[in-house]
Amino acid sequence: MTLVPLAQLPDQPTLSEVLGFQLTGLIVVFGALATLWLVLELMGVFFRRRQAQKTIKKQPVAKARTKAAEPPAPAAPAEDGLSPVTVAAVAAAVHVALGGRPHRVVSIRASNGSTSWAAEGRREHFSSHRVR
Amino acid sequence: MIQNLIDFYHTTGFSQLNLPMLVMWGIAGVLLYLAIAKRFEPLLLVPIAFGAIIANLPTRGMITVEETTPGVYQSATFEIHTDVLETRVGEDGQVESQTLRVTEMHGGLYDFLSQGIKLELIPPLIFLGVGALTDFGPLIAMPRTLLLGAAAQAGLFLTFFSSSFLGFTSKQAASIAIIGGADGPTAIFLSNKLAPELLGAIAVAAYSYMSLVPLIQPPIMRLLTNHKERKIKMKSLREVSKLEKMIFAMIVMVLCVLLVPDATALIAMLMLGNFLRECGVTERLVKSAQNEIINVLTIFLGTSVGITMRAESFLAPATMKIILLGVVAFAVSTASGVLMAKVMNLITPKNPVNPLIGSAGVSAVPMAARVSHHEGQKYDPRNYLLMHAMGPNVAGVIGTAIAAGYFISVFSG
Repeated sequence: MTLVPLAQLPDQPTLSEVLGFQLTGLIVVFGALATLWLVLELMGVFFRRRQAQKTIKKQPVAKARTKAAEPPAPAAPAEDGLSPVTVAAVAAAVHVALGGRPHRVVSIRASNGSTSWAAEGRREHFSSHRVR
Repeated sequence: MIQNLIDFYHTTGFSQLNLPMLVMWGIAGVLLYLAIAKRFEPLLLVPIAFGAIIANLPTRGMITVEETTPGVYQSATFEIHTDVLETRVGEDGQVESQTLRVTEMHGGLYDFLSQGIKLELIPPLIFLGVGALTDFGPLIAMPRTLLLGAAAQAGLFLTFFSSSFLGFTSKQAASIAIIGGADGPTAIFLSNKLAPELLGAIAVAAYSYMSLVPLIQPPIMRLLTNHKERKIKMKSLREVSKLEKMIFAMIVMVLCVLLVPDATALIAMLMLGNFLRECGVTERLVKSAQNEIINVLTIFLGTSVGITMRAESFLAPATMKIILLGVVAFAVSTASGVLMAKVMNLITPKNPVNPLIGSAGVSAVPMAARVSHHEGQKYDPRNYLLMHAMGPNVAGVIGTAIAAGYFISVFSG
């Protein structure tokens, strides 16, 4: 089939001219998006590799942090009567709160009688408003 | 006394009302019903419908220029079309005087607002907002869905074929065909360039079908897929970094502009909006593009399009043909996307795509993606297709802009 050159399609085209025009258009659209697909795949390969390398570099540090974040041992819960699940949850919360900084959980105690929670609530509440 | 009342009646707008105007009120009423009661694309259909009512009222100073004193017309900008009845040429061969008959006179508020369309300003600026609102992450994470966006453009080319054989000129056929892309700003941009006389009908058809995506697409999707295919769960998308998204915006712009320079205004603004969003240091500009700019322009675009729906031009056989061709374009685009997904599954059966996301290749963002998601959940409530469907959905926006650029490059020369 002879493709109709651009800018030469008449106002009332013949069947073959219309078919040629359509085919060219589809080739243009598919060609453009397929090229983008190829470029994005290549870009994806590069960025996935980069991400993998970053992960490898971070691993030793992460291991050390994990070690540091580990609670004293299951022995402590046994003494205090806390279940391993509670200890794990507290250790995870501490890890998140400290943003992954090295730390060691030495003791877990109930905050009975303490006003810390109320103080924290008030601080958050007041910090959510701008004082004029 | 009675004569005075009759004279007064003739000065009112009531004396100028006619049946076609009332029919247009009915059409505008249907659009308002769809927008308000059914919540179908209300942001666009409400201004369009309201503009259509204004266009079919005997307004003053809205569409025509006001004559302040006999022979003196005042307006910031107006356009007068005339026939030359007589030309007097002097002895030196210079034209001394001409007698003109005014055939058309545009001006007033509408003329101001519609400059945004006539000068092709509003559609690209809306694309700036669309870019600022769009997350291309799902497309970058799963680039093969670009093929679904490309396949959905098949409806455009098939409709061009049908339109040509229904008596429309090539330029008009191209403008009608773009309805299949389900991209309102692109449809307006293209029809203003190639067939401004059909702008109203094309814009109404495009936005109406975009609003009817949840009704038009599901039956086609169900017809072309089986139960097992609709339950396909796709692999989770990888996380895409900001750097990747910025590079993507640049690459798409450069590549598309090099390929179809006529689509520059649309693609460049789309990617500018997206780059502003992804670079992370232009928060104020992004907020403006996402909210104030796109909202103000949507009001002006909608009413300007609505005001083109005057009874004498809208109630014509051509409009009915455009409405019919529009739904064909839309249906074929939907079907092409679904079928392309099935073809991809034949080629890569180990990493299949759910064919329901193929229909999202039409660029009605994010409605088409939402429809794919809802259809998928009907067959498996734990199947979340939304983010997967956003890939072909945004690919469709790029595909439609490229197709529009191709049409312009062929016909505007």
